[in-house]
Amino acid sequence: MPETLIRAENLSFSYALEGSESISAIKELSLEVAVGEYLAVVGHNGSGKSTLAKCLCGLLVPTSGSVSVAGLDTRQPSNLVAIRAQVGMVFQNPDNQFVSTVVEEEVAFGAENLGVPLPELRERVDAALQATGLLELRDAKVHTLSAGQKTRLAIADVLVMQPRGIILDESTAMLDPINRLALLSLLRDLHQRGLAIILVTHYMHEALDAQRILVLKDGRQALAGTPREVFAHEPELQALSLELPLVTQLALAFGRRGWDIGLPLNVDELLAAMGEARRA
Amino acid sequence: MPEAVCISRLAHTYMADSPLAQVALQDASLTLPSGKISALVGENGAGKSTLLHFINGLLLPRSLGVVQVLGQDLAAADLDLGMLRQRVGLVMQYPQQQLFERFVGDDIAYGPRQLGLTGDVLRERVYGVMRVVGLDPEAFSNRHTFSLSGGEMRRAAIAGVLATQPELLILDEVTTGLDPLGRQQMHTLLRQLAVGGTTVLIVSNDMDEVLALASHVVVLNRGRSVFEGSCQALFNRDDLAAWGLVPPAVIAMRDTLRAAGTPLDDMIDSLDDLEEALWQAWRA
Repeated sequence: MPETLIRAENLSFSYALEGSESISAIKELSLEVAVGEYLAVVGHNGSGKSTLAKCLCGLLVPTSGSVSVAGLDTRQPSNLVAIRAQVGMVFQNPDNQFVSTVVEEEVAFGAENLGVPLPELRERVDAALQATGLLELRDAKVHTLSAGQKTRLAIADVLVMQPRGIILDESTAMLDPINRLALLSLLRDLHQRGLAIILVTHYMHEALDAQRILVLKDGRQALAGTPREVFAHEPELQALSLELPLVTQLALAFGRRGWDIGLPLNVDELLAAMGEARRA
Repeated sequence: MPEAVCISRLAHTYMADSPLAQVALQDASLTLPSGKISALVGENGAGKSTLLHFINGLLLPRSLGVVQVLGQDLAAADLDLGMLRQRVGLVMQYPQQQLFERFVGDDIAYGPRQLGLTGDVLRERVYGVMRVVGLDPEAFSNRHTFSLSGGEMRRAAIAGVLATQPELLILDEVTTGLDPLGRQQMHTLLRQLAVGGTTVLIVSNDMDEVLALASHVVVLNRGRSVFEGSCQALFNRDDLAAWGLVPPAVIAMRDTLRAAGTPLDDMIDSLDDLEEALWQAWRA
């Protein structure tokens, strides 16, 4: 039984509007994220993805139900500093979260606030810059970085806290294709090194790296499972306006033409499946 | 008039003559055909957004380059910027930057109100564009603008620009943050607008979207225009990576399958084509 990093129990969250109005964004959702797990959260616009992401790291506190991070309840204000050190978040537009003008100072900011002593702080900053490929840009001005570099800087900001998990809210959205692939590859590296990854995305093909996909609909869990388990629910996914990866779409198209080759998830699996089906 | 936009040898440096000077455009030229969907692509930092700002007069050509938009020379002494911006609608990359009214309906009505629309005509215009972008007028008109989700804000921003019925519509990363259904709805909308005579320019990092929509593509790289032509001419090149581009997913997959020995020709550029070709190669 893997150790649990984040546990949400009957989590509900509503945004209060003026007067007595409110909008219910997350409804009675229960979820466990294990230490070192790679989870993708997908869903349509307004399905509650960003709200869930903010609840899971304690930026938003449940309206009812509970969220705990490493056993620390996010409703308890005195836990927040410790929670932030466990799980960090990267927003869609990283410009919204930078506080310093120079890359290295920006990375140092979080750990410095925790009172990390200088020699260790230096090591942590170096390690975070190294992991995100920003070592050479350590003296650069933050505003001169490209969008891809800014996203990596936001990740470095989180890594310097030496967290056990990182949550990314549509972090690939603003990136060009090459930076998008580079970011996914960085996330695979971080996962390999034991970090739990929670990736919020619209794109099923970006969710392929995840061990588990959670599909949200109107603030509730619609589907959950491994990519293969989730992709097997094609009609439900279509109804939720979610697109399967191209390879999977092709395989399903062949199935409709009476040629069943299973559910390959990448081109290699597709070729193998077609080869096998032809031999059979 | 066959060309909606004609830009020649344009250059721009932000905060020129200061220590913070940053070169955004060095030598950009392009021509956008009227009544068609064109795409502007290039890696982050290539100068795409800067170029867009020239097309609706947020930036004006000073010394280097010529910008002509809808027959108007933007360096002309008698340039009427108000009139230009009425004819050129710009949807910015971050929709939050262009929403400001407290209620969604008012925000969308702002443009047409400036054009003098009132009463039923105004309401019809606002409700019409809300339906077009997939925001139900009954449910959303009286919603607080900043209580919307990211995708809903984007739709509201687009509706606000459409409400002034621009002749040239520019959209900077318009489907970023929209779910697949939202993207498809937006694609349908842009095609309909083009059929109706609107010239559309999209900036996109999503090459699948460019392939699906654009009949004309311009590539910017480090402030220079390095390619102008059709999707097919662009995406069958083998040096896309030098410009920070990758081919659309379906073409990348075609090329991977081809490299693995399945005969697939360059004309294949959709999932249907690929399905048929693979079926022929493996089943027939």
